[in-house]
Amino acid sequence: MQRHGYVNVTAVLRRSFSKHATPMFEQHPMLLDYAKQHMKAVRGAMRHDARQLVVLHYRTSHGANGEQQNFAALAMSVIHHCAQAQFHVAVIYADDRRQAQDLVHPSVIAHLRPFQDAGVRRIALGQDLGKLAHLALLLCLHAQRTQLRLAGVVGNTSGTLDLAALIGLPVLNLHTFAGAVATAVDYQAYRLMLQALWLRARATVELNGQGIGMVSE
Amino acid sequence: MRVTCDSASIISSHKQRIAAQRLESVLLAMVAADVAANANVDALAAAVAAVALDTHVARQHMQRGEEARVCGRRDDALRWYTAGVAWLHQQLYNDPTAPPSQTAQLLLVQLLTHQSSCLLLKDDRRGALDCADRAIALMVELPQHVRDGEVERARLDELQRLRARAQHAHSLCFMSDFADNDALRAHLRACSRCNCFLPPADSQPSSARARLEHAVQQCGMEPVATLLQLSSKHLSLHLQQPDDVAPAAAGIEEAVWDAIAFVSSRMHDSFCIVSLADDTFWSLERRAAAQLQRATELLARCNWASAAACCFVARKSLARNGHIPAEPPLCLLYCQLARSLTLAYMHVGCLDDAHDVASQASRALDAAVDEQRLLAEQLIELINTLDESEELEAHHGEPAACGVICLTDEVAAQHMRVCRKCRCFFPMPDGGIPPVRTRLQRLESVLAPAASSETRFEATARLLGGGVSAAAVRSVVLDNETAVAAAVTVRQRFHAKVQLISTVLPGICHAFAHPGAADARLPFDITLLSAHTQSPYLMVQAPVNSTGDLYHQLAYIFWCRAAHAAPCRVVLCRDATQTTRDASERALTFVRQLGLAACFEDREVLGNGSQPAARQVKAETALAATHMSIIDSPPSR
Repeated sequence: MQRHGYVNVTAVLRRSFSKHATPMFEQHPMLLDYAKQHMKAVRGAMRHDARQLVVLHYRTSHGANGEQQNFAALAMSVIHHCAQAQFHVAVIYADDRRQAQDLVHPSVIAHLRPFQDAGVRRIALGQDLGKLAHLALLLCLHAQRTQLRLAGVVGNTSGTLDLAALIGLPVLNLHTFAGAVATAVDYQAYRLMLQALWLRARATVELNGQGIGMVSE
Repeated sequence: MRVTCDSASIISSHKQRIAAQRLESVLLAMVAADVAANANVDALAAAVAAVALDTHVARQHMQRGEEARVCGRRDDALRWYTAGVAWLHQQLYNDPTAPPSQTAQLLLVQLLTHQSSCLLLKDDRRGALDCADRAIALMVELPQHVRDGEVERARLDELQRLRARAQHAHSLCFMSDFADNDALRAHLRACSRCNCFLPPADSQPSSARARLEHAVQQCGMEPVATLLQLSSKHLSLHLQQPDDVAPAAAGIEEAVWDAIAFVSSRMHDSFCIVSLADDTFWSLERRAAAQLQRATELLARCNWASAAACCFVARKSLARNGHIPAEPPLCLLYCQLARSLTLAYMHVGCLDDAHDVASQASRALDAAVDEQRLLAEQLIELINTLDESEELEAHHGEPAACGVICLTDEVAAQHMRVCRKCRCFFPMPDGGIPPVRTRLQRLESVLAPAASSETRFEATARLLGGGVSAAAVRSVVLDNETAVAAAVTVRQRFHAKVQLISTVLPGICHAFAHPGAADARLPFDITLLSAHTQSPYLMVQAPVNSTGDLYHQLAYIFWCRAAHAAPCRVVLCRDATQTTRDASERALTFVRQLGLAACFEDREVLGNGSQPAARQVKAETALAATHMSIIDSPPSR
């Protein structure tokens, strides 16, 4: 990354992800249609003013990852802060096992559920298209970032959020550390470190009374 | 002749300088008459003191200037000389009625000589010429018997040389291809430019390039680069001539381009060729077209550096405030130059520059029609080639290790003959192969300073050549031994060759640093690859991965493919019994859908392997626990 530059590396990865997913996109046109349709709806909702868009990448986990689950309590605070700063917010729910409750707020103009809305979730048949739908959505988001006046993607530590960074979207990762005092690098913190080379600036902020390590692109 | 002086009156005189000058005149007269022995000793001492007092400040300035010049502080030296000249000049001429002291005049000449020399080095030729002229005029004012002194004659010669150098643009003439050394020496004697710059000598090299090398050795790169900058203007003068004259300049032009390319390669800077773009002659379009033609010829002759110089200059001259010209003919010409420049950059290893140039031109041809379309396609093809070129890794300033460590020098020699990464990473002055210990020390020197796990993580990732290798260095962050142990397990269970890329190198380096202590522990037979091993490799991560890390593993594979490097096969660990079963199935389905199943090994972990606590388990435990199944179903597409 340091040698080749963020733009070059993400361009190579974005093209590669797109190239390898194209046969599936052609086979299942609903994937790209789904993404384009939602992007159009978001643009429509934003046409009345010049406010920028923040995408909240909302990943919850109901068992395997407690730190991800903790983000649910912070998501509304994040939306509130975005609204105060005059941003539109679109929420991507990156969890397909349970229907996460909508984060309702006047500034939220869209609720996107690629893992559920793709409509062909047939894991048993080996045809789950959730990750492809999510990939299509992020690629579309990147392609239309100018028209969407995209400020960035805000989310919590997750592979699905990492994908956004890998394809070149500006990402703010709000990471919840497990303990008050770090005695060792636990697995979730390690995942953050895994993403370290994709992130540019680091700071620690106090948000909603809780200590949050913030790593921003 | 007998002379008497009233020393008291001299010392107390309000106008010491005038008195001293009178005394000096008297002393000179005494010397001339050989009557010094009869002079009043006190008066002589007083007179000398007075003269010394008169020039004391100027001498101090000159001394400080000398010190600065010797230390390489040319600007400081010039300031001292300039101040000394100004002070002495004011002392000498503030009283028009008093004749100037000869000693002070000589001192002023000396200061002016130094000042001229400094100005010449700073490329202020007009200033240098003025100083030299002033100094020569002062010399001429001196009496003949003073000018005839040995030091003064040498000073005058030096001033004449300085003046000639300032007048003749201080440039090489770049004439080459002399029949023999005698012809060259004859030319050097006759050519004022060469004579000034490179005085003839028996050992004078014959070609322009060799002379340039000689000049670099003698003068350093900076003045030579300045000379070339000026010489390029000299070239443009030739090119301004009518068409029938221009061919005569071809030889000179050839030598200049050669010299420019040489200096560019030595300086890693192209400032000296930029100056060419400043000169305006012919029409802009015609000049660029000529340069394009010449660049094409140079490319055909594999003269990449000169071709790059040609294209660079022409392309820059076409640009309007850094932007591509809007007029269609100029835009097309610009993009054609960009294509040639991209090719040249690619061959000399400036891949980032090549990418930038091609991308800019490609963007300009977004709405291309007719003949521009073909050019646009060619540019896109070049960009794709660059994206996928393995040289993206090999030719950057900070080299990356390839991760293959060879135990014996013989194997290392075999490997390094084909591995450019290693040649970059282990440079040897004589081009030979460094011994094993040296190579390991080099690697260790990169990793050892990284104290914390995070910085070591970054250092290792850097060593591996990029961020997407991050997935491969997980084991370094937590535990080197885990990775090694996991490799043992993988080898035993999978019967596969294992390449533990640079992640375990610190451990290996440590073992080499303390031979005997770790021999029993470190499985060298599997961790170190020979140069010709072509077996599939496995990358195992410790601790076991989650499904979300799949994206990093995919990024690693994509990057390897873009670099035309064979990626390690990645072991995917999954738990088919617990709550994250769907997630792991989705991950496996995803890699199949992308057509990348062959890059992964599917590893099923019994038990609660996907839960946070179990993720901390060492890979060796996880891998040793159960059987493994290979993803062998064809991609879903």
